[in-house]
Amino acid sequence: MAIIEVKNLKKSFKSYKRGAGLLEAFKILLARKFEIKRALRGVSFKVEEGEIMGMIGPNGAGKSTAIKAMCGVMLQDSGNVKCLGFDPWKQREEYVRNIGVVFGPKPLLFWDLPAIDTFFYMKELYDIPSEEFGKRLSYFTKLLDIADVSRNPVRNLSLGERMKCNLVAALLHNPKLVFLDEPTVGVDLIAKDRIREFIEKVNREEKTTFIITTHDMGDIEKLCKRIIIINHGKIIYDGLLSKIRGKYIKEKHLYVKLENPAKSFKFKGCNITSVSDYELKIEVNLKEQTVENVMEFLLKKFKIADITISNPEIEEIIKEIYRK
Amino acid sequence: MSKFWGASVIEIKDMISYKFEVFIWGILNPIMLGVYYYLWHSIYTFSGQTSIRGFTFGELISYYALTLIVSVITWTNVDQLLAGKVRDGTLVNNLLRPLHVFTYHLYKKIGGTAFTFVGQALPLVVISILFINLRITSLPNLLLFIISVVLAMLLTFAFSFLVGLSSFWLIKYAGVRMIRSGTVWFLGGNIVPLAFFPEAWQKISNFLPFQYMSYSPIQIFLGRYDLYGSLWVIAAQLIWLVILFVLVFSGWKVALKQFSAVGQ
Repeated sequence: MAIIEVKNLKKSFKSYKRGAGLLEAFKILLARKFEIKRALRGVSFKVEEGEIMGMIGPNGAGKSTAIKAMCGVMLQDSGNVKCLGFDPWKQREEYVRNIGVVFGPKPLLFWDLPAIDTFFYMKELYDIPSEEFGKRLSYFTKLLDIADVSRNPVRNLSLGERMKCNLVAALLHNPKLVFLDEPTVGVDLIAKDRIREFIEKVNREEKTTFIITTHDMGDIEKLCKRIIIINHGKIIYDGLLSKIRGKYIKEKHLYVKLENPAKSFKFKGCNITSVSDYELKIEVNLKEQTVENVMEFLLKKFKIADITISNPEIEEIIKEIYRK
Repeated sequence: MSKFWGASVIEIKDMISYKFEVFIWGILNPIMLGVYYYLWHSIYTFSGQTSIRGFTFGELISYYALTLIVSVITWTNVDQLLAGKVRDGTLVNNLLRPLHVFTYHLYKKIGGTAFTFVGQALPLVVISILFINLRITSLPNLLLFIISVVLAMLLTFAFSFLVGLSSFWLIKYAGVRMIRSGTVWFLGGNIVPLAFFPEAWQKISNFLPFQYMSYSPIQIFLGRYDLYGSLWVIAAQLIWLVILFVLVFSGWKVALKQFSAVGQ
């Protein structure tokens, strides 16, 4: 059963424009110029229970706007959003009992108090039974290794420590649906691994659905089976991560080691990117040429010691998609 | 109930981590009282009057002591807090909680007041009893005064929150806050009693909420109203409370649409 259904979601923002300089600043006293920014231009998708779905897209693509509409903190211009059977905007207070949200580095915790105080506040706020609260808290604390830091005032914590505490605060009431807006931004490599493992574990053990936006393809590759790519307020890809390669890969890379000195050559659909003493790097355009033909050609022409065929990195593919 | 407990405890913990701030106000208020004392002492001495507008010197000093005590209880910066959250977008965090932003801040205000009552109001009460001869006029008056002060606190809070909603459009709120707190301070009778104002204004003032935020409860304490008059004050406070609550909750819905219409 789909727990999120978004149909033809549209949202525009008014944004006020002005140039640099003092004169320009005075000009807005007379006439304020604004332009309409169309953040979402008709977005539709569904999310099934128990999924970890990744939402990616360049800055300003509309990811956060979509998340805000799904969380019920923003009213859309048109279109329908239904999450867990609720209308997020109209039934917000009831709906938010069932979700957990972390908006990147925006502090979710009481700034001057230790995180542990926020955790206990969550217990009261969501009426979490003491026994369950204790169990979840000690489990999460161990998983993310924050026993120590959760007793320091939040303002003294590092970005990564704060992020871990945010995650715990957002998950204590056992929400069915969790939105994470850039959960690993500004976090070191080890902490990143911890956070990813944590998300994976909670998803597996509690069937919690996660919606994650990120710019880190590592998050996506580690966690998400399915991704949605948004650009210019529209969905340009919605499907399995594994299929994106097949759909968008238009080239393969060959790395060839030779036994005799290399020299450049011309062959249809081949782009030779580097030639050094005993090495060749070749990009094969799959529209014009097959890899087999190139191999055959190379075997005839050179004495080959070793050959490696590789796909472009997922990051390269995504970059290519963003540029369109 | 547990939500109330949770939010008010958070505020108390917050205040404990800034106990120095609370302590400073605990010192400032008695100093203010001393300033009022010497100012009015010289006014009474040089004018040669024993009573000005129906206040003897002793009554007037009691009045000022009470304004300071009441303002410890009614003081709020909820509008400023709200404006800050609107400006930097952290209001989103509050919207994601199953507790109305108004209710949340009210719970915190009550928790904070429990703390400032002990830290600031009680010392003032003791000083006033010892040094300026503050006495209760009757037990019923004291009880009616306590009820009326609680209502005054809610009134001031609701009014501040309502004015604070303008920050959804203004974004920068400091100027409006000055006007808001100045109005409450002046028209509530904190600078001089409303009895010192022109007669015509006193009539208008009966139809505004401000005198019920400080002046009227104090008049009850001083025994200037009969039982009927005191009950009428409490009734007027309740009427204003209903009006302000309706305005706050309907205004909130409009303001929230504004919040989401601007990219945050």
